[in-house]
Amino acid sequence: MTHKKNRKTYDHICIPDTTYVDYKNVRVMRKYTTIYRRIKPRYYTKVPMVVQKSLARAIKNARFMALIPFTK
Amino acid sequence: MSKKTTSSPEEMQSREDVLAYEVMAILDGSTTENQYKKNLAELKQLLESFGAEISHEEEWGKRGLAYPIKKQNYGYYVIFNFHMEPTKAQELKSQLRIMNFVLRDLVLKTPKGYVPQQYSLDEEEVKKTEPVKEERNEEKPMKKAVRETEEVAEVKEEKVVKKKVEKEDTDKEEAPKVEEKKHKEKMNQLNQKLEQLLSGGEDFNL
Repeated sequence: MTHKKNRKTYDHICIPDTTYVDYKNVRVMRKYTTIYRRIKPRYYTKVPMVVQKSLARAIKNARFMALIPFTK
Repeated sequence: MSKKTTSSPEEMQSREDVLAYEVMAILDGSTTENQYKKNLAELKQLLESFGAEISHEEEWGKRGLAYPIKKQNYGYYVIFNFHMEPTKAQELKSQLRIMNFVLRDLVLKTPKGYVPQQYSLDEEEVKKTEPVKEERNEEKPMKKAVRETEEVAEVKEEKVVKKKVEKEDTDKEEAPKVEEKKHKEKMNQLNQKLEQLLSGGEDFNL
């Protein structure tokens, strides 16, 4: 039996009820990059692997569209 | 930022031969407003020529880029959400790349049940940070009052310390006087010995 109630939700990162992270959400993109604009590793972010992967994908898309810088 | 919705996306989602796409493009920022509107219309025409049924359209307006693209620091951001046959996606990408006024473009497949959402941009973040500073200023007087009480306590402590120091000073001042006396006596004795030696005393041993 899975304890769904005890599971953490990541609605502040993902779109609710999905694991899709929107690259247009610049505030989240900023939060999960370091001061040198590197993607924060999972041992800092403490998010599930699924979220981390889509987060990384979103950050890369946001960089490509010049919403956030590649480096500082 | 403007928002337009034309056709209902729920009808399109029920169809199996189409997929939901999102296109974001940065249009040339060095052009005038009129030229930009013409470019936007041209872009929309291109999408429609590929059989795209646009469900949502968004314009962010002129915005600073995080880094210069084609020697330009500003660009017009445009977003389209539409449904299209997946076989045409590759051709659309290549056509977008050819367009002169498009600095960057991004074609994405959106997940099922995705509803276009609006996010606060950087300018709004700056506004939100300002009132926080004011609150901090309000907190300061409270801290000042606390500090004043602390200062009073410190002053009291200093007074006590000063009294102690004064007592210690009196003790210390006596001690050096004794030392000076001893020193003077030693010097006198040495002088006497020297005089004896110079005068050619009997105990002359080196």
